[in-house]
Amino acid sequence: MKIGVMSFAHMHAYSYTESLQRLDDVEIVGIFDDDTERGNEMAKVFDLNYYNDREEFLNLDMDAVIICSENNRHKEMVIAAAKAKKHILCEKPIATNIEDAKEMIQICEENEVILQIAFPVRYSSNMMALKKSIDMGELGDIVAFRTTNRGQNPGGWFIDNSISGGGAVLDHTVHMLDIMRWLINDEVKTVTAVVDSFFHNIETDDAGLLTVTFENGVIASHDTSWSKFKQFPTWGDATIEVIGTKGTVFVDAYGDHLKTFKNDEKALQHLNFGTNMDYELIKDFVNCVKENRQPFITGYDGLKAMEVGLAAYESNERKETIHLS
Amino acid sequence: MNIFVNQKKIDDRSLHSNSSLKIISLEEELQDKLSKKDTLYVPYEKYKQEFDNVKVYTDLESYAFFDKLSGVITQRQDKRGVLRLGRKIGGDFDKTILVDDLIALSGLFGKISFVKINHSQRNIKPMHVSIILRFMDGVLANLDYTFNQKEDIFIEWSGINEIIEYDSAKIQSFKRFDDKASSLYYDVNMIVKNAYEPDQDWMKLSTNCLSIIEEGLIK
Repeated sequence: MKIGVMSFAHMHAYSYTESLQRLDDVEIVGIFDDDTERGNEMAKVFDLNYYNDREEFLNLDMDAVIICSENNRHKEMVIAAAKAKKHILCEKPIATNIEDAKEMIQICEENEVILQIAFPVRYSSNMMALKKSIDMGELGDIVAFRTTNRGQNPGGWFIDNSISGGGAVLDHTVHMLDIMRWLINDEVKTVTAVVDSFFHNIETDDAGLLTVTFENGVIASHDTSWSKFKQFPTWGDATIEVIGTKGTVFVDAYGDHLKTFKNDEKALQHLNFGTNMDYELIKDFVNCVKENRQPFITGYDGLKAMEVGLAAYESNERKETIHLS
Repeated sequence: MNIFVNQKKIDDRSLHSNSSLKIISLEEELQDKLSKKDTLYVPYEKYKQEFDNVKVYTDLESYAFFDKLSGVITQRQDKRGVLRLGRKIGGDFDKTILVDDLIALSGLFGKISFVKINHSQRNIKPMHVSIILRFMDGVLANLDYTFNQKEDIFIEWSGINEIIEYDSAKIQSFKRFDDKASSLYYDVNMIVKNAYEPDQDWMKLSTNCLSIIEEGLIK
């Protein structure tokens, strides 16, 4: 199977490309990036061909592309790839507004190509076990969720709203909202949020708290931020507590780690020995294309998760609860 | 003499240096046991205006861990950040616990400018309550309460370049026979230090906190 990588603007392109190189039955045909310096550098790092002409790149003989551009460019890249009949794995958030996301989904459907959104947290073995436990009824009826996704400020274009579509709230709401939707097969009905910026002296938001209600009455809180700093033992977290009528479970996607103490600037560090979620995501996408099946995480999943992030901003602006249709 | 109306067991470890005190249970009739020299310390939900020489304490502020956390935050020049409080509570839903915590947090962070209270269905156990708050001085807070659970408190403070965590399930410096976290016993010194004079300001604060919890309204 042949795959290309479109843009290294998002740092996940690095681990996705590494993951592709670990798969025996995958050939990476090359890298497209309209940032020539970055594209050339990455091509050198991974020993791949570099293309700075998108049309030339999409005309290559390949089955699929992985898109890791800036958020506001997902739409143009997805549409171009879909029209070139390439299956697509697109970095989250799917887009920066609902109209763009809907158009991307529609064009992929019209061109009969797969559109998968990159939510690697779903591939955590802990999250998978949680899903199984809920589906088997071990927790009873689900009453509430408590979730967090706090990390470091990625800087660069992430803190320019005109490119990213939003700061920490958009960046880190979509993962856990996707997890919750997936766990209970239900949609969010209302969103209330407070959003602010104080951790990094930046224009865009770097902190937010949400409380949401699902259609079936399940409630949830979500803490989303870029509150971690470089001396913190790890990049951040992705946690969920599920409160059910038969029991409560806490899951941390990054929870499997050793603690190491060093005489260093970063005295305590976490050495992860848990699932390599990025690798599992890439492996599943490759299998999805091979088997030509529905992706595990669809464009619609990406749209619904983004919708909650955008509603959080609206709620904060209007100081009221937002009802999603 | 200081007399403590005890809502929960007071930590024995805090009693060694406090010989001039008396602890009585919530059920005891108070008035006939008090002399004019006594100072009575009562929890928020047991406060009555007819008590003389009384001070009111909150649950959170009576724990040594919370006092330490408050002290660190108070010392910081820039107090903005995100507080996340998760509590598991033994009994059925009780709004006074929520009011009590709002009083304690208002003491630390000041006036509340926005609140949203979300709760699960009351007829399904365990009931869960989720609150998000914005304080005027720039602090965001998320308070989560799950009732009908083994008691547990979890706090995270994400400040500017500073993260502080407390988890009662993990802080077990003194393993007790009842398996209750050793840090979840009141420290009598914290009660004395942090208890409020129930003056007009406090009455206004507690009334506001009650209306926030009962009606979701900031007055």
